[in-house]
Amino acid sequence: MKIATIVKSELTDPKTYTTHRTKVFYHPEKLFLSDSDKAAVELAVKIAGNNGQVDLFTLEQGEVGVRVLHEALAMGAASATEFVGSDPNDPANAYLAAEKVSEYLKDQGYDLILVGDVVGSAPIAAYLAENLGFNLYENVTRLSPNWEYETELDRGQLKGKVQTPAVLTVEANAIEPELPSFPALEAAQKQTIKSVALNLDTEEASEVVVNQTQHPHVIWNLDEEPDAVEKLVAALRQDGIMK
Amino acid sequence: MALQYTEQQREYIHLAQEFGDKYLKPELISKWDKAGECPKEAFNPAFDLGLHMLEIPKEYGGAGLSFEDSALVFEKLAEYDAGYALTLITSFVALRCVMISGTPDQARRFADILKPGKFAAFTLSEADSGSDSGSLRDTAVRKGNEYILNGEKAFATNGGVADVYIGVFRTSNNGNHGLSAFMIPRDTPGIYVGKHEDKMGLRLSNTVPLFFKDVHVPVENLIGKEGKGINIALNSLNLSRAFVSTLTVGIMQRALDEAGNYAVKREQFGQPIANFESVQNMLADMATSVETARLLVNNTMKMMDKGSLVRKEGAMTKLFVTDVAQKVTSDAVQIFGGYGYTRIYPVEKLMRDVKGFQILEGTNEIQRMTIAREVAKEYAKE
Ligand SMILES: Cc1cc2nc3c(=O)[nH]c(=O)nc-3n(C[C@H](O)[C@H](O)[C@H](O)COP(=O)(O)OP(=O)(O)OC[C@H]3O[C@@H](n4cnc5c(N)ncnc54)[C@H](O)[C@@H]3O)c2cc1C
Repeated sequence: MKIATIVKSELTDPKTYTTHRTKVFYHPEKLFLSDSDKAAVELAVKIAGNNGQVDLFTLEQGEVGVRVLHEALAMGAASATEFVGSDPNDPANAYLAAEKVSEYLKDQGYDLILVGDVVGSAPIAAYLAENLGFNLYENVTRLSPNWEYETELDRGQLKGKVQTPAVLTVEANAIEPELPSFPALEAAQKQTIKSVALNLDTEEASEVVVNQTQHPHVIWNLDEEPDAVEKLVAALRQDGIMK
Repeated sequence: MALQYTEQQREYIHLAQEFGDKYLKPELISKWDKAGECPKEAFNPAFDLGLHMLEIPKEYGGAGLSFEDSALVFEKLAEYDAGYALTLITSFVALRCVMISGTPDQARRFADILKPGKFAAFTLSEADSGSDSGSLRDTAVRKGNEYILNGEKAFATNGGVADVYIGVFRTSNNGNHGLSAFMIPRDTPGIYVGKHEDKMGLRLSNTVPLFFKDVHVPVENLIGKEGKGINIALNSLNLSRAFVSTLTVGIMQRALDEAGNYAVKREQFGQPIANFESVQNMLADMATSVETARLLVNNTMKMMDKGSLVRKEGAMTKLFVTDVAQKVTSDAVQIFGGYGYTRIYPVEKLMRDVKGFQILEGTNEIQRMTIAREVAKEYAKE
């Protein structure tokens, strides 16, 4: 049994996002393995048992990528690979990244690919299944060693049997992950992480042209400028946004 | 955050935080604090994670983390409960005596006892001998290949839960030079555990008197040389008192977090109390104390990792950190007003817990004496 798990990060505490006007800063030091990816790794390690193998992959970049791989390695996975490229995590690159990842995974004999189910992870699972010709099972909340699975629907559950090879998106409540031990984490930190370049830059990028009119003021303050609304309406008319 | 963590340290701290979130939930801590004890089973998850062997070298089956990294892990745990963290690190006080002054075989035997998930205790104090440890009276008399121990020890942290003790006993009447240290398995006949002390704080930590009645210990269990017991104890205590300061930093961080969160939410005179200058001053001083204390602990841990016995720096760290922590936790209660004085919020507990650190591992008055002695020695050399 050979299982690939694609892992990613999630903010442990959403409060750690800070906004400054329209800019959003996130604090990379607060990004750790997402709960659903933890469940995916735990499930993979349990299913693989003593005879199988779990390999980890991530599209996260830099220190966050290394960190989520360390966490997942400490949970019992055998190897870790980071895909490096120009922001393959960007939703705009999702299809291209998935295509490259599929190419890489194609002939490696995986029976299962598990992906933790967080917002934005569904497309990569679907693309992988499509590119690799694997069956796709989404929102899995239970998977038994004899391949019976359950998924949570809006009105009830869907039960069935997984036909391998397959791609599964795993919900955080699918299994309660055990915390890794400190010696396991320490060993994971010393393990070599393989880097594979996705070369997304070589593909032709589409160009988006935005015509912008510069206004002397972009922010009107209602408290200080009683005519702020009129000014805004005038600017919108000038740009043809309001008639 | 003044202290710049390495990426590895972040991962360790995060794991400690996940552990705390999962196993040290506020309602459990509050229940155990009220009961004045923590069930032994509550430490099983900590054993699974290897927290009881964190800084023990790998050759003895530990995780082999540096003092610096271990301290950051235990600081985080102390944010949840310092008594729980103290229970885990007290084993290190005992083990360090063996690591520093014992034989490799003794260290291995000691570590083998702890490895499957057991505790150790270090017992020096007696009812009439606290700060003046050189005056202790419990005896160890050699008979053939054994020592026979008799007497009563006081305030033994982990005494009731440990499987092995390091005890200091009098082998001759030669004052400070008449003391010797022994490794004593808990199941040796003649050891009796007294009533658990009903303490003001650190109530999850077990503190008991121990009674020794004709306890036979083989000579192989003598640590180092006969008559060197006080040096062995102090060498370990120098490191330990620096290390326990990290728990105090954890308590301070928790006090700051609780007070900061409360101050921005609690409104009086139509605005959050965080808008009032006197509250701001308290928060500013608290935050500054947490940062400086953490930096001091971190620097001392780095020195320990380089092999320094930190006689002066260990005492300075404990003195400074545990003294400023009193004000930080007291100010946290102040910011909570009347509610802070009740058990509805956890800040009163932080104030109770933190007091113990000015006393255990040598009182802060004694730390000042040690520092003064070391400083005077340095100037006398010049
Ligand atoms: C929670 C807790 C856990 C403990 N755990 C352990 C343990 O695991 N093992 C162990 O062996 N002991 C332990 N102790 C005991 C601790 O080490 C002693 O309480 C401490 O050393 C002080 O001794 P004492 O209580 O006898 O006070 P005393 O020595 O009687 O001191 C009373 C007061 O007089 C002051 N004083 C004494 N001598 C001087 C002096 N020369 N100059 C100025 N001031 C002085 C002290 O600072 C203190 O303020 C623990 C204590 C506590 C509270």
